[in-house]
Amino acid sequence: MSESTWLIPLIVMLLYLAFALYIGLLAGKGRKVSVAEFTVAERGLGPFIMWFLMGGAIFSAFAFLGGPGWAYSKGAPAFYIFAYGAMGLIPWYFIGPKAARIGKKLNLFTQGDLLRERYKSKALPTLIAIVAELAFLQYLALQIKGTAYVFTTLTWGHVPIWLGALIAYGIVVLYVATGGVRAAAWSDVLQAALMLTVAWVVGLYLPFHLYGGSGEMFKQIMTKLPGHLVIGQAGSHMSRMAFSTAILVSVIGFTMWPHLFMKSYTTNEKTIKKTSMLYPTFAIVMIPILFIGFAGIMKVPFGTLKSADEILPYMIATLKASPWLIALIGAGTLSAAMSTSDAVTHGAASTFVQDVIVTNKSNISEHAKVVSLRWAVIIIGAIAYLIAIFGGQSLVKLLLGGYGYIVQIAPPVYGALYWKRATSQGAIWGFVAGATLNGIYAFGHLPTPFGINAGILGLILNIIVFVVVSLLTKSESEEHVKEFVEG
Amino acid sequence: MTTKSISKKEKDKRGLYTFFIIFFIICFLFQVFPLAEIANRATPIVLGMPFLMFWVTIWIVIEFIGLIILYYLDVIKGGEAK
Repeated sequence: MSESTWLIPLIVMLLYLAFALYIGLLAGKGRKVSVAEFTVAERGLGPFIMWFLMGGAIFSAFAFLGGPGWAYSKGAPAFYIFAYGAMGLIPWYFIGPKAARIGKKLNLFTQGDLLRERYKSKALPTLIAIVAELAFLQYLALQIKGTAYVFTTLTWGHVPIWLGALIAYGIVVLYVATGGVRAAAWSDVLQAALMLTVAWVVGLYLPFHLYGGSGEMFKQIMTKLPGHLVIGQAGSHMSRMAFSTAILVSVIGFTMWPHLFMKSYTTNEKTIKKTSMLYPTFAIVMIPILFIGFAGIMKVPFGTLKSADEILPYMIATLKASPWLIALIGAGTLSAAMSTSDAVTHGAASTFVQDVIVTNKSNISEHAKVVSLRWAVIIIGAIAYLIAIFGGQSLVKLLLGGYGYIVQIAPPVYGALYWKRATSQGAIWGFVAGATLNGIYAFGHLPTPFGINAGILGLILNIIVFVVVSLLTKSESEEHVKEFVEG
Repeated sequence: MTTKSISKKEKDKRGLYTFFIIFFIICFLFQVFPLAEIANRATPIVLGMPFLMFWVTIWIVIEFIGLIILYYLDVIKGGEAK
């Protein structure tokens, strides 16, 4: 790209943003002003839109930046991304419909609502919500940074980091605050479609353009870096145990993210099953996306980039690619980041208002709740923006740290739905023990025994404490737990 | 519908779910170690992918087929109300 053509990507990206805003605002227009509408679209979303919503929410800026970044700098460990991407929604096929059934009966909107009702505890949902908010902020900061990289690199530095992030994420905050989950869902249709197109076009174009095909590309990589395309052998970047447990923690943690779990309440049981069934098709998107990172290995000497996550924008900006292709990639990456940040911002706001405020203060009017939800979107958005612009670290690491905490929600949730003897004390102490252990490893950068993922170590401790404490404490009445376990 | 027929249907569903949960766990196990060792190499390159990458892709396809069959038996043939 020559410098003079930077206006084309800029204009295309701005057009895309305007369109995303338009769709987002339109989706929420004329709908009822209620918590049920804002948080779960009155449980009425269909399968078409659910597929885009779940896919868009999960495949994020991380897919476009962190994924190729891993393929470039670490190689085979990046395969974990689509391995878990394909399996991550399978648990939802089994627990989603059950959560939906109970949710409809008891009028639940969030994960915390379910935990509060099942365990008759205010402390448990509050505690989990607070930990989840921290994970959400990291997650959002990552998306915002992704959009900023793309804006800056693809406009040849003419749009500063802070401004690119402000425009793209400002639009997300605007349509989520006005239209709630329905706005996020409809804008995701545009965003996910665009991101899928771009992934395939660029992922297939680069290996062919640079190497004459992906097979030839991998042959060259094998010669130069034996070990880059395998796990746990000489020259590879991840041990077998770390790879295996990274997939495990992600597969269990995936549906436990509060913003994803609460999607059980946005639709009916059949749609949940259909969405889960169709979901692996979304993981296929990761295949060509990783090609992008691999394509960089022979072309971009290691050490050139400040961070491996910049490989896609860097390669695109330095290749003599058509400005229209650059524009398309820009819009695709923005879509990926925005379709995630809308769902996460919405989830973070709903979790905070329902699980922290409403849980602890019962006499709030419906109108005040909706106003709080909108303000929560704006405030959480502002905090995430500030963290993104003034903080920093590699994208993938942040996300894995996040999963280590989120996976600790699994015992309370599965216990709520399947184990009559589960008690609030068991759930609380298990969660505290698991999250603390994960936190010690994450913050201390400590090596774990056998290289097991710290989230899994936390989860093992969590389950032990959960079971032991539950058995030692008094469970809720048979009649009460039946409604959940047999519901 | 009598109570007995509900419980039989429930039982069938439970059996179906158990079968598929085991199936998906097996799919998972083939993608992690030690079982993934079978495919832990770069060659042969299949469909333009190094062998380990192709291996993971194949399991995604198998999982997808499994989900389709599960959905068919559970929802379409099993006659889910809603």
